[in-house]
Amino acid sequence: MLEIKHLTKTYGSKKAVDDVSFSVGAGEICAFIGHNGAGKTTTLKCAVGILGFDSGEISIDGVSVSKDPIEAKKRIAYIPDNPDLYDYMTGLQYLDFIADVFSISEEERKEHIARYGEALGLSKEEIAAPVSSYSHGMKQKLALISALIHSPKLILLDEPFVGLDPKASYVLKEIMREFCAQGGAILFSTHILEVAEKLCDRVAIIKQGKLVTYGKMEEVKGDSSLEDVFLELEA
Amino acid sequence: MLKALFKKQFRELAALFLMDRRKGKARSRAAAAVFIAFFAVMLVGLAFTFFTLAKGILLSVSDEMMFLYYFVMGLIAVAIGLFGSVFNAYATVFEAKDNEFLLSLPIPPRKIVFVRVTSLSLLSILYESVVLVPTFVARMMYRGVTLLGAINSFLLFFVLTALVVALSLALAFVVAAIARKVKRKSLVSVVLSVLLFALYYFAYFRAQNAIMRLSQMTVVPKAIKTWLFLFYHMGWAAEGKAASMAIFSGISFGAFFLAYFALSRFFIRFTTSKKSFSVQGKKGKIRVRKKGVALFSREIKRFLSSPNYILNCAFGTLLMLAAGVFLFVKAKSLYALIDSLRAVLPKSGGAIVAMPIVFLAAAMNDLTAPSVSLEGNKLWIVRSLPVSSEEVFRAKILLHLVLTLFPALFLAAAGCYAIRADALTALISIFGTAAFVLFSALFGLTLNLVKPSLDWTSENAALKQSPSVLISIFGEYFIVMALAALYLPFAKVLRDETYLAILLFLFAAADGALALWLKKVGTKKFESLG
Repeated sequence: MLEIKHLTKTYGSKKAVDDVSFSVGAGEICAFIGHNGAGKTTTLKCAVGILGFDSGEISIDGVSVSKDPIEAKKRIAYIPDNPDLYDYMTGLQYLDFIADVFSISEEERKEHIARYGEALGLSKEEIAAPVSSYSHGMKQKLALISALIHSPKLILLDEPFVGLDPKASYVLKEIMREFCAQGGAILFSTHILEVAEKLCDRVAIIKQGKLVTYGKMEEVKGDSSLEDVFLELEA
Repeated sequence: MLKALFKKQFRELAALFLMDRRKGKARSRAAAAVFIAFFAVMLVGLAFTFFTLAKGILLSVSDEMMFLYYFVMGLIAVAIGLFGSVFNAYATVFEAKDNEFLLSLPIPPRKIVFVRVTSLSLLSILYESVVLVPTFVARMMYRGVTLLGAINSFLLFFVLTALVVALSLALAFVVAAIARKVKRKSLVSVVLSVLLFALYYFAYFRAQNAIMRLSQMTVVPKAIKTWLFLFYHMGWAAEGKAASMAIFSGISFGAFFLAYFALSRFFIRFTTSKKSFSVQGKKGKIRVRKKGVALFSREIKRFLSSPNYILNCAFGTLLMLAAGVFLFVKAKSLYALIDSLRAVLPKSGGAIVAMPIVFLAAAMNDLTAPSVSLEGNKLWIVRSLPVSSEEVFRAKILLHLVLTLFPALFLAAAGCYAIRADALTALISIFGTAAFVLFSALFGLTLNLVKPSLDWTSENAALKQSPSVLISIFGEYFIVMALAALYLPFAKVLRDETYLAILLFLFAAADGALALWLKKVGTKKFESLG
């Protein structure tokens, strides 16, 4: 579903991402792990088409992000680590805007808003309130609904569990599992290694812009924990 | 504890001069020095204006009516002080960002209030000094002062400050209380700003005349003694009357302490009361739109949500509509004015004068010039959605056209009516106006793509201080005036419609070139913004 080949991205003279290659298949959840400034967000932004890159190739469901960005973006949903949403809209207006862009029918958006709103604990009244009145967690939930409203094939999430209450966190994990069971793919960055270990099929660890390990979760961690593997690689 | 609080408060005050709000960083020493010098020059300039006014009053007021001098100048000082202090009181006392933080520390609220009110008083003295210092200097220079008058005039700085601070706190309390209740804050802000603007111009054109008439009076009207009783005594206090000084000081300080103690008493209750509406909206209705309409709707919502955006970038809309109505109503006298220009512009029917004025009015709207910068930290949303850069540009340009084209065409039509333009001239003028408005939209967007500023901390930085906005407005003014001036050498040979047709062609060509640049280069620049 997501294929990253030899991705390199520089900021001035600094290589933020250096020859990174990995893929996430349909039905898979892949954790993207690394310390602060390792290159996780840059990689995610390149995959979404927000950032251009110097060399390499990224394709989503076979569509090149650099050659046909609009087609590629139709297949994905992205939520950054700190989702700054349009605070001059209500939650519903924001969801309508996203659904309009993806040409989602009224019935479908109604169903998705009701379903994911209820699951994440965002009531109809809260969705109808101005985004400016939302807490961080509520913005995160609204961003999640907006990501799921158009039934993407790939979801890219940057630190999705930050700011979520325990119930919403649990629901999100359930949604992620269900999404992948239906053939979707997820790549998400996180610092919560226990969640990554329990939830993910694959893991990619990045250090100073270079991918230091990538593979199936069981193969990467072996008999030890993901935390031990990560700390060993970071040492 | 008070020392630490004062230190924090003065750091905040110093930050007004030492911090660059646009970048959210400290200014360099040289930049801070230039900024402070600019501020000082502005204050001295204002003081000089008040000095001239004070001198005018002093030369016309009789000895028996000398109270009128400080009565008028004191009223002006109160108005100036209030103008600056109400906003300060609102922002630094009632809605200060660190209110809750400070209240979470072991600091008695009355100490927080004491420090805030002291800081407010210092700024208030600064504002009033712009009026009171030249008032005192002019008095000494042109009429002389008694010792008691000089002492009282000096004390008035403090007494007047007490009064201004008390009034500011009361007004700011009302504003803050209303702001917490009102849902459509941006609409209220816009309406209030337009009213203030109208009031300012009304005062600007009428006040001087009224003041001079007042200063020439020989009998004190009863209304002054009753309705403006406090300022009547202020006038006599400055003349050295001890009783008036006692009355004025007593009431002013009384009001100040009343406001201070009320604020100390209710500070916690007010600042910690529910600030905004609960996160509960009425159940909204889903609205399905096409992609292009959704993007345009996003621009409209962004525009309507920000009073600063409306007032800074679309004020021309209101002015063009008002000017259009004015032209239709006063067409006769304007035609006479245009007729008088025939000696200078023998081949002109007036369109060559009217149309540049329409263009200048249209150039006041600069909605596209900050539109990319205004995306700020929310740029990721459109960048991650399957919308092309061209679609985003189209929505931004459309917003400019909707708000500028129709009033500009209305003004152009009114102009044509006023100068009694023939059909051909009117047609070219209308098309010329449309071409210019489109040019204005494309030019602003182009400049913003060349010089975007996404990392602002205050929206005003993108709206007022960004290079694209300044170049867009002044660049368009320059272009229009240069093109109008270029007509003069050909005034004896070229008819209006010929020159306007040339302008139409030039603007249409520029529109084409800018549209092409936006398609080929602008889209790439937009996509490179991370």
